[in-house]
Amino acid sequence: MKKILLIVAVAAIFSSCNSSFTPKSETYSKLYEEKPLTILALPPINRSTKVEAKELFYSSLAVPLTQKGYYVMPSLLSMEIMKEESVYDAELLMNNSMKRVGEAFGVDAVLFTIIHDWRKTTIASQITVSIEYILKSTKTDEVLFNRKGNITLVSSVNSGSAIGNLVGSMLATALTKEITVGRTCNYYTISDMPAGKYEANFEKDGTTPSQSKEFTVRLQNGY
Amino acid sequence: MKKILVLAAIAGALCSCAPAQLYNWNGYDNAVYSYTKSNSEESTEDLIKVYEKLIKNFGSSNRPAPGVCADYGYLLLKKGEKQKGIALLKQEIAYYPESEAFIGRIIKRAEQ
Repeated sequence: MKKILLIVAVAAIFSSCNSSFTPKSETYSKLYEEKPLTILALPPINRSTKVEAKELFYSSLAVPLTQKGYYVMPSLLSMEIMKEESVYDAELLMNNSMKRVGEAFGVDAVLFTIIHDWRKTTIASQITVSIEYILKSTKTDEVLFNRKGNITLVSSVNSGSAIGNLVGSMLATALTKEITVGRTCNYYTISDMPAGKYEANFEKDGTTPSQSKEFTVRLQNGY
Repeated sequence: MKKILVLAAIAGALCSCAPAQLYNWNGYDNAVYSYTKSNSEESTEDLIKVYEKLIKNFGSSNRPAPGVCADYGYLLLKKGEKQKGIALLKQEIAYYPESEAFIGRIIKRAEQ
């Protein structure tokens, strides 16, 4: 947990160099207007080559969203019901009205996630995760929040010898899973979302500058 | 070793400025990952153990995180522990009344 926090902190420092100065109240004006409380995270739309990314990533969404002050529908239970009610393929819903889903689950908003990339390369010892987050209102079908994060984790190893470095880097990447980078992407992106009702900053963070719509962060993991 | 200590010190310093987390999710990330990946009996038991802690130890809010009681109840229902499962689903509604529309439906189904 501490390690993840550290990574997030590093990411925050990186981002401060290129932050735009549009306040959150302007960037996310619809979200401030509608004040959604309940959110259903839909099954991720997986455009990466890793088949299992969809389910593995799904259950990582609830934690950062709840810490941000929202009520998020229970992950395991929702996934089961969505499979039953053929809401498993979120891509098919993308351009439809969200009202039906809103009524069925009793939620104010739904979160679409698109996994654009989810990859681990052992040779270059790096992990790349690219995820887009789209929060849509079930009342008005408006997009309330839309951000995309590209996170690359590079494991750098310096043992002093070429062969030592090679073995070391293989080991370092083997120990880190894509999900760790996926979680970092969640924390980072969702931290820009205005606070929900249960968080102390609710309706108080409008003047905070919002991050750019798409951001790329390169993290270094030393061993 | 020194490097680890330095890292820990930095992490500690960073954590100390951040306010306490709203909810306690300790251990959940890895347990739910293993459960989703393997869906084995062992990973289910591990996840149940985590839930058992999460419903007792809270973060700065005075209740478990949204969904914790409901998902725990759901796991127990799947295992055949109907009474305890339904009680946990009802607990979710008690903590978070906004979940009633959805959870209420699940309770009705489970009671049939």
